[in-house]
Amino acid sequence: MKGGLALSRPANSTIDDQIHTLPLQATYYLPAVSYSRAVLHSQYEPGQSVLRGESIAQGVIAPTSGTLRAQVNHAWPHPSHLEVPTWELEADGLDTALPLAPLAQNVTTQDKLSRLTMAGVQGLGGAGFSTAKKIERVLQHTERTLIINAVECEPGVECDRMLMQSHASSVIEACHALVEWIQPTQTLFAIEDDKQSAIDALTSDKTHQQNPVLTWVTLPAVYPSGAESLLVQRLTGLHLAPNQRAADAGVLCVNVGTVMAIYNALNGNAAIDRLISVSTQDLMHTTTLSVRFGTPLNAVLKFAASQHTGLAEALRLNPTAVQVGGPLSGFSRPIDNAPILAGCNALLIGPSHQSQPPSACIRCAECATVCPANLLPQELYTAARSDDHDVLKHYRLDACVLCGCCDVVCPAHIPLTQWFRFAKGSVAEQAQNEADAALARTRSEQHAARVEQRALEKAVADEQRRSAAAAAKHAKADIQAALARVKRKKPSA
Amino acid sequence: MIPALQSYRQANPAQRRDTTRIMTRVCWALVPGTALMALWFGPGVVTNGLLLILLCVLFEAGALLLRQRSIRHGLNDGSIVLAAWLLALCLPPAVPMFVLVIGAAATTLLGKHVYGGLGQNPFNPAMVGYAVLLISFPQNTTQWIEPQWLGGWFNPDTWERVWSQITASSGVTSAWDAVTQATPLDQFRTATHAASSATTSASGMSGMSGMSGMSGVSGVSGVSGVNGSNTGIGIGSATSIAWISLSAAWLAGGLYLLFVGLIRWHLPVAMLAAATTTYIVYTVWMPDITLPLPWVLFYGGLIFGAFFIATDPVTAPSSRSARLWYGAGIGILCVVLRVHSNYPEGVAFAVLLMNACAPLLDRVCVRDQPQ
Ligand code: SF4
Ligand code: SF4
Repeated sequence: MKGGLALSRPANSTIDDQIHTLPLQATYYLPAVSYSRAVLHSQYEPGQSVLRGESIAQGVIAPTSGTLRAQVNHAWPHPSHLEVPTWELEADGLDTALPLAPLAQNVTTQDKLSRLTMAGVQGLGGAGFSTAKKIERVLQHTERTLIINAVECEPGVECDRMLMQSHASSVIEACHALVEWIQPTQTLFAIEDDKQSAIDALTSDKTHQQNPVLTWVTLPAVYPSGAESLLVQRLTGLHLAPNQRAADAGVLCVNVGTVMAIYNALNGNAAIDRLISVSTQDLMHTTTLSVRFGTPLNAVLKFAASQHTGLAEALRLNPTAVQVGGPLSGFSRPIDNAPILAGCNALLIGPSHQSQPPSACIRCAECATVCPANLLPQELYTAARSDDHDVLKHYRLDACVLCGCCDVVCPAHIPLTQWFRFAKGSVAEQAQNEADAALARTRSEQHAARVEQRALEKAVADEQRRSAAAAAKHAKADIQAALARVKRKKPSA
Repeated sequence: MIPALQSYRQANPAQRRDTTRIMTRVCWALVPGTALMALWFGPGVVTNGLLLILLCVLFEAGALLLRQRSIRHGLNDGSIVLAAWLLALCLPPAVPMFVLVIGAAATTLLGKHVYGGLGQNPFNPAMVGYAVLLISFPQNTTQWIEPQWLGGWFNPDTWERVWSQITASSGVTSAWDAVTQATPLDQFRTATHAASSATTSASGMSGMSGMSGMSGVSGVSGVSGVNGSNTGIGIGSATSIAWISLSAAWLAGGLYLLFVGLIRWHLPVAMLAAATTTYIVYTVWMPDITLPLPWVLFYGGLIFGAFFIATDPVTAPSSRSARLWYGAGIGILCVVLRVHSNYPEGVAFAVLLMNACAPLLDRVCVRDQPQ
């Protein structure tokens, strides 16, 4: 990988080597929209009670048992800071699970895929892609590659490392199960070289040693090596076209946490929680929590503060705002009861530095030097400012992974990544509008065609009727003429 | 900027970059060369610099005021101080005040603000100012005094000259004329032109050397005639040592910039390599050029230009391969202009010409990247 940044934690910072599980909450919030704000449909009614693991809508799983309340507009953990329709789930405190039997060894692929969908397994990378769809696409290829992504190179994001370290044997078992299912020609386990404790834990596992199907790929800890498109390109040499996904090329790239979720789903446990690292803004303290989806943000932070005095102090100093995501890839939002969702891997709390006002771009190209996607962010920036989609396309906005490296080095303190996020939204919106317009056009054309067709049919029918009538008239006239002839003949006879 | 990112940058000083800091560091890199220049050429170097900085800051503030921008924020980045300083280093010591005013106006307004200020200008502001002066006041901008180690500081004439510069009283005294002298490159050019007009009398070049006789630069060739030499300045002479030591100081400053990562090697290396190659081609083609090779690089502004002028990020292309082509273009044009133009030095015009090509180079070289 070209570019990127070697980011490290500050010296003598501490990481809590334990996973703390959040206690059951009274209320959970489940957005009724997907990450791209498509409305999710559900046959559940307000007042209906659900069990833990019950699928309320596509990708929305009840994190505990309780009663569904009516949908309300509620805070949403998304850079857009929008409010979206959200179900409130009032927990009954019993936490009764939906009985899901482990799938037998010999079930069909289709059964497994529908189990994944039902259990709500989705990528933990933010956009929440359905894992079942991804696997389905990969299975259409005969040559398959499996990449298990354990590369989280952003300081302050420790959840994958914690998972591998504390559940090494389950992780290995889950990987083996996935390999068994996918039958890839090779399986690469990508991890950075600064996670030696996790590597040791995994490689010393017995199952692994007996059956070493995993090929270890250790990468230098350069951010953002873990970005899927970059990782796939680096490990397989595959250059993906714009809008092409790795899965379309037979490469299944899944985060190690997702591998666990797949394994759990096949064994009857729905995906209802994830690990989240909570750190202070200066990254001096980090602790890892196991949080169920839908848990309100403020409850998570309160619990984190109760686990660590450093975090409590940070929260006291800045009780109003939190950074959702890592220091580079995240975004800031007020501390409220917005729910935690699958894409949230880290939270940063505490006072943040005053941001410096941006000045003019001096075209120093430092941003281009660090850009891991080999783009020219300064050109993209100019294009984003003028919202010029053609130029944005020319400079390949689609390949930008929104990693934030360019922001870090920009001497003019320009919020480049923010601009690119905005530009991507603008391009997507235009594409959507065009698609809508195209659909409307096709519909109106079809309508016009139908109208024409009907008119034509009517004209033909009319014509036939007219000619039939004319023929009948003719025939009548003939008869009359004949009669007349007969009449005329009679007197002479 | 994302607030947490800001915290991150605070915690990682290595990642902390800032426009003001960059400009300040480039200014620091100019200090040794400037000091050396002042020691060789006297107090006029210092007054040139201070006056130009003052004037440019005033023009900048005025332009920001007219454009309704924050003056404090606009001046804070230090880019105008650097531009003024670079322009001052191109000028002979103690240039008359009115020339400086015009130079400062051209640099600040014509070079920068008519395009929309920092980052928007296609041409290097200092070179725009210099080119304007070079064309408008060839006599004032090409007449260098004979370098003298510390000499200028003890010579009442230089102080008088500096005084008249500051008080903007009338120009050149006769005592002054006596000490003006051509730079080594003037002699190089004169020698080359003499040779080329002799060998290719039918070509347009002879016309050019004829023109040089008419232009203002003729004053310079006249002086070189006084020196009585057609083949250049002896390598051991004070003039030669002065110019070579200056280039060495620019080189040191440039290496510092490279070392701290403010510039990358592509551009200066490409420029110097291209200039050398072009020069070699010329020596084969016109064997009459007698200036030995390393000195060609060290006389004149080639090294200064390679590290401090051409590397101006705003006006250079930004992709690496484009920077290679851009540097090479400047190097080649520089030598070509030295040989064929009426001006002894070609760096300024070479830079301006390549500035004009920079957007095109950027556009073309994006294709280098894997799709
Ligand atoms: S790093 Fe900032 S100032 Fe430099 S080229 Fe990129 S956007 Fe412009
Ligand atoms: S342009 Fe995109 S991919 Fe490149 S450094 Fe910036 S955010 Fe990362």
